[in-house]
Amino acid sequence: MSTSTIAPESVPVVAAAVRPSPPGSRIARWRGGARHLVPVLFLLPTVLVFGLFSWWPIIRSLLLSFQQTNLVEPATWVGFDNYQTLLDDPLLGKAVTNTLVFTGLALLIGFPLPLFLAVLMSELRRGAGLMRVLVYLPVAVPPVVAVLMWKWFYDPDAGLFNEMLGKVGLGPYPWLQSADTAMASLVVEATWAGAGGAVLIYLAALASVPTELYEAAELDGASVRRRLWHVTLPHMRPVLLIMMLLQVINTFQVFTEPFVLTDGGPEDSTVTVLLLIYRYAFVSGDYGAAAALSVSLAAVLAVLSAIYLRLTRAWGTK
Amino acid sequence: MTESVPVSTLRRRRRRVVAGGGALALALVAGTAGCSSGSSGSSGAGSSGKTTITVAGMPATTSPKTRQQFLDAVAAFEKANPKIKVKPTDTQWDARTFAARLAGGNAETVLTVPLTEPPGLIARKQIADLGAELKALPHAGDLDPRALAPATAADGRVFGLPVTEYALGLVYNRDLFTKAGLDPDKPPATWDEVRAAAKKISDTGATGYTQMTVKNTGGWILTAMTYGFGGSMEKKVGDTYVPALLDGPAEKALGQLAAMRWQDDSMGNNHLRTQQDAERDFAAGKIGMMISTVNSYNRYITQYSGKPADFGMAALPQQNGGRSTLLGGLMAVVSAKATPAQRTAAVKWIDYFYLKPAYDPAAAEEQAVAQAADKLAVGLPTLPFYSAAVSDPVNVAIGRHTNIPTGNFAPYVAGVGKLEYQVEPPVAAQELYGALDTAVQAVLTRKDADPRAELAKAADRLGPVVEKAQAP
Amino acid sequence: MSEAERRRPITRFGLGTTQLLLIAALIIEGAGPIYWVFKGSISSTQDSLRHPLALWPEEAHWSNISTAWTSLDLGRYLTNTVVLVGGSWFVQLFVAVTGAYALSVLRPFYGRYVYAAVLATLFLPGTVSMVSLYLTIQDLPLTGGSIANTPMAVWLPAGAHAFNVLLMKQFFDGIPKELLEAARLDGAGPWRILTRIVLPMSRPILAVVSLLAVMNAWKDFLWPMIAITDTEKQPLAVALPRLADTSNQSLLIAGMLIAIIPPVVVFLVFQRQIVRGIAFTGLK
Repeated sequence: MSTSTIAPESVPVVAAAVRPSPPGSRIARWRGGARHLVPVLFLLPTVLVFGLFSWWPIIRSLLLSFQQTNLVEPATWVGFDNYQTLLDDPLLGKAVTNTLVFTGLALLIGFPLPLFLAVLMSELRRGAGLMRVLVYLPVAVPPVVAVLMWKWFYDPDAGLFNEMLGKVGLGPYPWLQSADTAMASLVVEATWAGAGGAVLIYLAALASVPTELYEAAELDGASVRRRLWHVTLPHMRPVLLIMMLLQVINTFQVFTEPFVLTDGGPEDSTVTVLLLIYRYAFVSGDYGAAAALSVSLAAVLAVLSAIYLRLTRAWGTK
Repeated sequence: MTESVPVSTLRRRRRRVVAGGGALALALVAGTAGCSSGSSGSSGAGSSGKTTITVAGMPATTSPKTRQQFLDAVAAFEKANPKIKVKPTDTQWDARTFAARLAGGNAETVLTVPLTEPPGLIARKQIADLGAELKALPHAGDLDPRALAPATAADGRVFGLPVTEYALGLVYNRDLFTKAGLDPDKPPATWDEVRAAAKKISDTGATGYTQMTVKNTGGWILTAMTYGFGGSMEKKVGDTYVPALLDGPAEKALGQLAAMRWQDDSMGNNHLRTQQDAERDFAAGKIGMMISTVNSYNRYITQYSGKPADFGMAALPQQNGGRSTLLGGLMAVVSAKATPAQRTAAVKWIDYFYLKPAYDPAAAEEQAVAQAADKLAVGLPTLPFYSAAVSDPVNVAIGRHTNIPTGNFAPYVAGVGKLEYQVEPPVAAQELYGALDTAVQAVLTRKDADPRAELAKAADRLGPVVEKAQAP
Repeated sequence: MSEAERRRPITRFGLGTTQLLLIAALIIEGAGPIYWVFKGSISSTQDSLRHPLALWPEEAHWSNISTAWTSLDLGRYLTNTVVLVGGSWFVQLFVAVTGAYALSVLRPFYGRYVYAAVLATLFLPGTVSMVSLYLTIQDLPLTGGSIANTPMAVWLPAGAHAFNVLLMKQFFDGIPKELLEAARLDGAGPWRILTRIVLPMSRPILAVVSLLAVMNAWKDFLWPMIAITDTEKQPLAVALPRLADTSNQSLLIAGMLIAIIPPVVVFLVFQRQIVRGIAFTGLK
């Protein structure tokens, strides 16, 4: 960076020149030919990157979902054929069900647990720093490593879990090796890997509950449990709702866990929607079907995201 | 104050902004443009009248001798064909990326692909018909149709040439056989014998028999087993192929696995197995037997450091009147985007590099020397591409440099001679394998899974796929 | 719980016990698995099989870690990871800063349309268009070449991260306009105002966006796996599942340890900022 149309010492002068004016007022424009070009140049990276890598793929997915292509010859329009292919594939129903099961189990296990931990941690004040580090440590582990780690723990031959449970006379359990338990095993792993972030967010939200509310409740003679129920949770409701939606949006896109741990097995019990998209495109080479399923998933996610953004905005302005 | 800013300052300022704000954006575009000049398969004849082809299959840097041999061959080939320029790449075949690379004009002109791939590539019109070029090759008349079969379309057109081919067989650990009181020189020849041997091996604590089950390998191996039970996976009804999963042999094969898993418990505990982890555990001496390929011996030695003496190989076990095995290996194919000139040049290269060592003893010997120097296996029992008159002298030449325990492959060579080679299911093989993965996993992970019901589920799923793949 | 309650002996006893139990549980849950990887990485495979529950190996094989480093070629994958993460971080920051500056400070008349187009992408997570994004990087519009198998294929799409632009613009919006106006009156150009006033005032948000960018890039798996198929160019996260199938167990676990160490160290060093960043982005 070259120096200097502004001498360094002029910066404090600038700062001293601050006078109040209505917030958000637009900065007066520069004069000359540059004034049109400057914003264009600054926006160029944004427009290029979002245009090429966000908008164009989205539009292309939409187009591709109505086309058949081997990517060599020009694509042909096939109407809703690709969507029909999806509906004809018995695996689609399974993938949707599996994804919903993952989402449901993740809410069941993964949603209350961080909240419970956060409430407990905020009540027990000592060692807060240590607890925070411990609770967030799994999140710092790269997801793929976490998944491989759990694969090792679940190992049917000498896995940690079966060895430990064997010591107290339980098991051996099949974990990933049975259609009945594989999905739940993935959810346990995902919860371990993801809960820490939620705990930290809940802790921040809990810290923002005004202490006067607690004091008022205490004067009324409310028990700890009642205070939790009537003061803390209502105050937390917005953040809980947002976290729930965020979790649903994320779990709808679950891929790494089934891809690395089970490759969709056993018996397709862990084939998820995203895994199916991946297989259509990169195993079968059916880009039309992959695009059609992508578009369908996108439609669902867009609705959820719209709700999410509405909630965050509504809450942010409160 | 602003009014007094001289024009020259403004201009200077503007230039600086250009350099700052837009610099990255411009650099990015320039950078990507720079990358695009890499390997473009579709760029045809150059200005000098030279035809440029890109060829995949150059050995990785981990095998320096064979890599150098490849580069030397490229140089010699270019010298012999001054109008052809060859750009080699060591990009590995990847089914995921091929179509998209082809579309972007970045796929190589010549590719080497596993035998599972050509039918799908032919159906999607992504590789070129080589019939005309093939006729002009030396010894074209002596080419064994069996070697061409995996890349021969239903109408007889040929889309690929063999690189290396072998029949799938039973790979077994000779040391575990001895420990279990079995004779390593008399490996199982029927599936009942496999079952008995697996039981004995599992009594010693190792896994008796292992089946790959994920990423389409479950269906692949089950297909080989079904051939061994005298069946096939698809059959022709009228003019179209339909799944033949419920004809009996596939059910027997699956039933065999169920019996070994649940009655004998001789298949270990892990039933979500990739080819890689099965091969790794086999090399580590944890697995008694599995169905695998001849060239898995190369990985056994180089990648997993297995003991050569423990590696045993027999022909694919047969039962119920079966007498055939599944063919595996690699074929060379040419991108559908290649121009006619490139196609001719490509077939010349395939002939020079892959076929010549199969009909010319001197070329064969040269290749064997380089492979031996890289500690790659020389002398593996592969399928000859040419009739005996042409291939026998070649085999003698290679035989001088054999570095494998030939005796350990003797049961395989003896057994395979009596078998017919069958190719992959002709329509939608990968989808078929995927659906059968599910069936194999069901039988191995759920005690009450009924082989027939699982195959029926797979057939239901495949029906529309197989039909769509054959739609005109 | 109120202060009065805390002082009651019975509560204090109960609190103390719960506290100990909670910390013990968190140690097992949070640090336990990572310790187990550490222990596994210095045990021989045989040792792990013979004494699966021992807290310390019979004989510590420290050499496992260096063997894993060389035989699994981890240095290469780690370097690849650093290159991908560094580039993604730079592109994300660059796009967010220049875009937000144009949208918040320069405010051209078409700015709100650009902003709307950027924000609209928040509705569609990148994964759902990954197939067409993949086709796009194979044959890039404008330049017409392929950036697959190059770091560009990871760097550039990383820049299209609307949340960064949103965060950055909101922060820039909070900078008093008078300050910028005065600088302009002093004759400062747009670039100078950005580097001398806006950026120095934006350190907190730059830190938050940087942390998010680095953490996300480090964790990314699906996209790098699709975009970079050349095994020699893959980041650690993509290489490890492949190595998991082919390598000896104790070496693989040593490899996992090596993959865990950098992000955990970064977390321990920057934990305050990260915790604040997460709370911030989670709430806003």
